[in-house]
Amino acid sequence: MSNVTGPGRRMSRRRLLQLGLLSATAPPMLLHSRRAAAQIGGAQPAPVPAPAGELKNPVEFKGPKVKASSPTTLSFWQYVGFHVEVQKFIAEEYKRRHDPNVSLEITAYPGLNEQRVGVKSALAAQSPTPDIIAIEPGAYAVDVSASGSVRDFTRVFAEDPEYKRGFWPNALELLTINGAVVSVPAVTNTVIVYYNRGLFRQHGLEVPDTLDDLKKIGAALNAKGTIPIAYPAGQDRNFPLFPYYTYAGGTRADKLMREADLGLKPWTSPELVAGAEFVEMMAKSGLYAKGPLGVKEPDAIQIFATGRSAMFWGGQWMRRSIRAALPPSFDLGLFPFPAVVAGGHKPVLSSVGITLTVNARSKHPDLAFEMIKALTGAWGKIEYTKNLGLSPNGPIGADAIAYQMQSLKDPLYPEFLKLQPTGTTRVIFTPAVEEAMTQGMQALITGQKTPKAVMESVEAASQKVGTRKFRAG
Amino acid sequence: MRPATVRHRWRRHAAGYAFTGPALVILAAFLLYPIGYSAWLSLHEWDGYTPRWGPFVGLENYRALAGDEVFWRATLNSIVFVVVRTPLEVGLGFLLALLLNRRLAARSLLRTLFFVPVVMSLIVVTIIFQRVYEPNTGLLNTFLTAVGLGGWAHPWLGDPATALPAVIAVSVWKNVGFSLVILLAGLQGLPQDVLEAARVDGANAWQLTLRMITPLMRPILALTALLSIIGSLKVFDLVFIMTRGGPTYSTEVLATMLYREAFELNHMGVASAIAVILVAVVLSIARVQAFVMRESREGEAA
Amino acid sequence: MVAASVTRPRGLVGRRARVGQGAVWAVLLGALGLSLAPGLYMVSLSFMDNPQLFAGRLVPVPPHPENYPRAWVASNIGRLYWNSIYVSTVSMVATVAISALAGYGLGRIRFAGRGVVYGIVLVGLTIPLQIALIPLFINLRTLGLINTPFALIGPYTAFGLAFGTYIMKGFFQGLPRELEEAARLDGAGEFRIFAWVMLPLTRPALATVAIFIFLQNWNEFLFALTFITEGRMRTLPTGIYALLSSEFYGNYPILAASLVLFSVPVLVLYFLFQQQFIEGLTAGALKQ
Repeated sequence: MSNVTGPGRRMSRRRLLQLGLLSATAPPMLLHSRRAAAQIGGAQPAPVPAPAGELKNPVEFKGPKVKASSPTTLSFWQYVGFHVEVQKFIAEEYKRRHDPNVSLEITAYPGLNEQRVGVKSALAAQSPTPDIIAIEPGAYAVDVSASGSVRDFTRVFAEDPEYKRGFWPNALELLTINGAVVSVPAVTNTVIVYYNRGLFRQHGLEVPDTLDDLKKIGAALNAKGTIPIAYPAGQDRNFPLFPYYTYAGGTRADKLMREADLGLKPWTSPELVAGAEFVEMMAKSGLYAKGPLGVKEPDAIQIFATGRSAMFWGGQWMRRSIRAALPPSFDLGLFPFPAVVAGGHKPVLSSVGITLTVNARSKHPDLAFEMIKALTGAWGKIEYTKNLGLSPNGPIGADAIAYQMQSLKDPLYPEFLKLQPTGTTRVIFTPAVEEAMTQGMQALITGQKTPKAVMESVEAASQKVGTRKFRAG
Repeated sequence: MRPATVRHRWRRHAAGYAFTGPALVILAAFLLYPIGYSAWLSLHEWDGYTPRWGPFVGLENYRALAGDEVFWRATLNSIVFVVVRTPLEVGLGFLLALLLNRRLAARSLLRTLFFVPVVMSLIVVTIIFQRVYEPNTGLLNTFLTAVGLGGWAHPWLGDPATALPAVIAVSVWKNVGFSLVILLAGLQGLPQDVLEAARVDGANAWQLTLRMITPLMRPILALTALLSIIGSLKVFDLVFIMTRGGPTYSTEVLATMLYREAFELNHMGVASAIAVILVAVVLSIARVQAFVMRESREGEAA
Repeated sequence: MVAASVTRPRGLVGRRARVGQGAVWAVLLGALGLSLAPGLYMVSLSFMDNPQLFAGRLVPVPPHPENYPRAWVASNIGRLYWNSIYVSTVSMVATVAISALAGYGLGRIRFAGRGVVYGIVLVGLTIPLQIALIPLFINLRTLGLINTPFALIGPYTAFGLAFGTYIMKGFFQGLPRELEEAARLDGAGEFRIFAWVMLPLTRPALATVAIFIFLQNWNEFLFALTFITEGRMRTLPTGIYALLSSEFYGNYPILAASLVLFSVPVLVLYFLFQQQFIEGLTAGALKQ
């Protein structure tokens, strides 16, 4: 496993190899890890038991190649407020250790929509601020890069190949537009099923392996008046799409889906229509809490935290808010979505978290790139994910994980790391297709349209866009 | 007609411009410019990223809208919003104003309390109503079940059939206090002697309200209605935060479609065309209303 | 007339129908309950902790008053208050002053192009804010005003002007001609007439415009979000909304406490000035 040649300098090669083998034999790794295009991430080593005493970040914080000649403030617009703390911490360490002239000013918008409005206005006005922009992969990345609004990482990677190797290759692939990496991920993220272990035990239920298992569990729970799954389909534009992505991941149709997204294959092929049928089936199965499109994240958390539902279908990024809502006695577990077809693998939706890029009109592009390198480089990624409990953007060493666990103390973190390599990307590049998919999935959930009609409307939207003005990869 | 010398007239014009000048400058900079810019953009193709707007396309954006199902859906929803919200808001406001228009010790306090929803931030309103409407644990469904109407429990915002009414209900709730305050003020401004005379002549409360008060209140009712119509046509935040125009465009209104086209689909030209249409519609409604009011006033005078 | 609204109304509906009295109160209290319940729920929420909230409680027992100091610190509300008060007040004063001038011009002076100017004012009442975003951003950036209070004061004043002028024009129109003519015979110029004769009569309308505009500015979200990107320059609504995605993500009690702190000033303001506010509405907007 070349993945494990992480930055774990203090460990012997042999120990690393052992760890690598160990993690390679962990169950999720048995599932085709080499279909890289379809996955984000790779195997991390298993965490070692934390030795006594205060651990330190095992990786050196490397200094920048370029420093500021006079006091400079870099502006950074992002949309995830709960990342601010750790970003500030890294920026302050950078200032303290390497470049006292550089400060980072972070603007956290309340959400992605608001940030997009802000960024769009700034770019339309040819504004040199912000220097650093957080974007989402998919349509947003295409928008800003195809219009030449941001710089790409070609030169940065050429000068520092080691930095490039720090990322999961498949994560960078997702951010490659017209042949150049336009943005780099701060973290990777998964969508999984959280479950109430206590409730499962109480009803004598086991973690489901297949869709049939899940349906049986659902029937048993419904019979006892417990909602099987809280699924906040009303949260945002993305949530209604998760079941479809899950099916595509579970049947290995995700590559086909991405080609259809780029207008190269029709959305009406049997494989892709089958995804829509799955979405419809799930909505009718009685597994979800009532009226999923009227349920938002906090509602779903409430339903789950109070024991009204046994499972919660959601993202790794919600770990903190879920924890905050749970009573202390709550026994929280997680599992990947069960195999959607007999003998298939268990699809875990996975993607890069926020990704960072540099405004093409920034007055300090070199300093901005250095700051991004500090945030996402070998030392930074360990601090970053230690603080948040999200998965790193690339491989880290077992000693690094031990260091993280010392303060994170969350048994779910290693589980997330284990599931990461089985991930299926959840990204659509073409805005109009994304819109048609979101609306189509809603129509399936509410039973207004047939799966076939929905996929036909997605195909119509795709054809209306015509030849894409960009190339993915 | 007063006879005015040329000099006189000139000075009058100058005074007019002097008084309205500051307002004009500010309105031009912050209002006319954006509108002109939108009108210009609506004739072009632009993704909102390139330094300048793209190629001139004539009326293509308008033609695209005419052929877009979503646009007609949004237009219909905007009309429904107006047609449902305005009568409710004005009607309920009028009813409450009539009830409050009496010697009540607590009138001033009540009036303030009814105004609370108007003052409340939209963020609060949407967060609270999300908790009210949530299908499984929401207050509304819990209440319905508790009083034995469990059969009426419903995923209010999750069902395309009920999402729009549910959103309109919130907007009525939020704005009724505003209509109430205006209408109550109007009631208090009515000529009391006329009403007193009618009362002495033996008119009962019902007749008084129907035959005397309502006709006298017509201009004020019309004004309240106009403000409500404009508010309904411009409604954005409430819909956007609660439903994002969904599910399946069931709550999409012109303003949310404008936002979607501009910021999600990068069709600045189309978005600008919607803006132009919206401004034109609202303006013509205002004009029609002004015309109707003038007619009715002249009718009264005759 | 200004005085009209002060007239004590007689019991128009109910005097004779004593039986109906109970029904009237029932309707009023029912409506009052409906209109207040969400606000009360917010206050209640602000005293809960997360488990209480997620357990679906309606009443916070035991209460958690510590949410308030935490909210104060978390969103740096002191700073936000200052920014909001500054921006809202400055643009309110500018709006009131300029719309009084414009209202007088439109309401009492017959000059060429008056219809056009009034048309522009009406357009101002109707334009959807979302479409003004990008052109305004470009404008403000060119002027170097982004992230300064003027990025908000300018647009707020402009959008407030439309409403203000609309109200003030109606009010000035309703004032009797005799006053003006008497002053004119005394040889007063147009501005003297405006400032010394007419303006003092419009106090209620000025109060209405002031409160309404202040309220609107205080709550404004979209411009505040887009034209102010530095945390320390933010106003209350965007500053508080940012809590939604911060480390207090999902912590609704803290958010609710911030929102109570946010709403209190406008409510107090309304309660104090409601008499003027209502007189202004009666005498101004209603006389169009």
